[in-house]
Amino acid sequence: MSQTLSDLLRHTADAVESPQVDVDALVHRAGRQQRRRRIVAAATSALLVGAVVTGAAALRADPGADPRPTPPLAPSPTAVDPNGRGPVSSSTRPLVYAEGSTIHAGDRTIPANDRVMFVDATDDGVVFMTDRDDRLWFDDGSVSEVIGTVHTPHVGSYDVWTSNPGSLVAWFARNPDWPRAELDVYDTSLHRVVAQVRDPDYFVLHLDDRFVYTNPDWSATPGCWVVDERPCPDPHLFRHDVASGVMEEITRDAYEAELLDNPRSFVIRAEVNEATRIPVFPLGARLHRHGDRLVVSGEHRLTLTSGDPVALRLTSPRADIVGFWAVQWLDDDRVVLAGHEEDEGGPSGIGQGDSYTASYVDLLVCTLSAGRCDEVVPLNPATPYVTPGRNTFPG
Amino acid sequence: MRHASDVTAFSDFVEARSGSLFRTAYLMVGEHQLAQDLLQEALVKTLIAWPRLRDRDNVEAYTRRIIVTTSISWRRRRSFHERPSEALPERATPDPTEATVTHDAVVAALLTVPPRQRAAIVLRYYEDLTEAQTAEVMGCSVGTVKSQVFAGLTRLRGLLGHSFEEATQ
Repeated sequence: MSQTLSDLLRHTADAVESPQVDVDALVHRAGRQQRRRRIVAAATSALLVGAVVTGAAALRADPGADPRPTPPLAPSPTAVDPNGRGPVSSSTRPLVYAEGSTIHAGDRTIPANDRVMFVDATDDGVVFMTDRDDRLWFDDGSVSEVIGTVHTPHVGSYDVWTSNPGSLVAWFARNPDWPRAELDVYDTSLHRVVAQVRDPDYFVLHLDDRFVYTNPDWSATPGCWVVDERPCPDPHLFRHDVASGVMEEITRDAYEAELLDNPRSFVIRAEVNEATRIPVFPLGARLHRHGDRLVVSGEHRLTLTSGDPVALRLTSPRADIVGFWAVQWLDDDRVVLAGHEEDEGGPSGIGQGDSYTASYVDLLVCTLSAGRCDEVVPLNPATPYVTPGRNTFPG
Repeated sequence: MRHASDVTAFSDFVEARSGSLFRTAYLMVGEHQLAQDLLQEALVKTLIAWPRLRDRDNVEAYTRRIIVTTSISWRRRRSFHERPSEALPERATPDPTEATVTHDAVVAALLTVPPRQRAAIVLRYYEDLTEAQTAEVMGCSVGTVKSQVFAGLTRLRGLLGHSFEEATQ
């Protein structure tokens, strides 16, 4: 006598012993995940703080300039501002995204053989991971090589950071003793690990071409931290010098000043409070379409690092694409936006927001100096895509 | 800071429903350790969403939905488990003429069913959800549920033979 499928499934499931669930561990893990999301948002918004940079300013002097073609994948030098205001990068990067198992880097394609789950770029090439395993790859345009193994506690969690501009890639190395893991920093121009930070029971706030900025886990370390449930005006934060290996505590003002040196960022300012410098958690700060203009939702406004307002128009607005967020800076003047069809549920910030999925996207390149955004890659909704910024489409 | 009352209520929910939720997770992934990971992942997400879950009567449905959607996305990662094979392992293949099948055979057969089809079958035939409820959990139309169930049943029938009856509810 046959049994029903319901009975068959029930007998199968009931034969398995249910495990004990440690609620305290879940509470701790939930806390860590929430803090990580906030860290990403904080790092994102921290990147959104501004300073005038000559390169961007010069480009903005020519508002009629057409968008430049996607540059080739090649290392570019970083110049030093003669006024001593910090590095002014002339480096450019190609638009990078993955389509299934194929990575597009400008006009070049890189066969990854397996579905790409993470992709990003440095000044020297493309870094990526696939669904095969936890290995992190770097492709310099001639060959793909494994540069490390990333701790991936769950799908979609890719704790990998890249400097922009720059050649550094940082990740939490896979370690059976997690969370007492190791943070590895790799230089893609030198093709080697240049720093290893032990016992990194902290969050990475930001990586530039010299430093890793970190915030200890506030739940484990007493004090007042940048990312905390109760942020304070003068929190502790640390800066690890990749070259010297020196870790030192710096002030928030110093941290912000260093962030302001990077023009590849936006600033989200509170509309009602000009004194608000870094919105640590700029919820609702993504862009959305208003006619053919892109605006920031909520009581915020978006500015360049110079403090100038961001004014962007869509050259070919599509009625079905209403929400946007930045996924990659190509140079000081061009940023890639992913446009999607729904204006809800996007990432909390602009740039490297939390991992997010959408049903449909187009990629646009916005030229800040020209104030225009052009659709460059209409994506096929039937194909899985990944862009920098840990975004995957469709969900 | 998470409210103590929320943690208490969450703890009560876990104690009462984790066994049932684990069994759903097990049917979705077919492996004890992986099911445990899946359950924990879903419970963590539930806890994070707890303040927004106004209707506490639907917490279990919310968690179950996370289990289903997360397991589908997990299937994209081979590092967690093998991709579905086209054929059952020989040891798990039952004789189609046999009236009963082993636990391993059912699990092995389920794992050869594509994730969304498997989700539809587990929700319909293990959770006893209606087609509309299944569609709600899977975030798709009722028509899609019908087609997914049909395709999944066809595959299971081909693998398990006459081990189960068509009419299940």
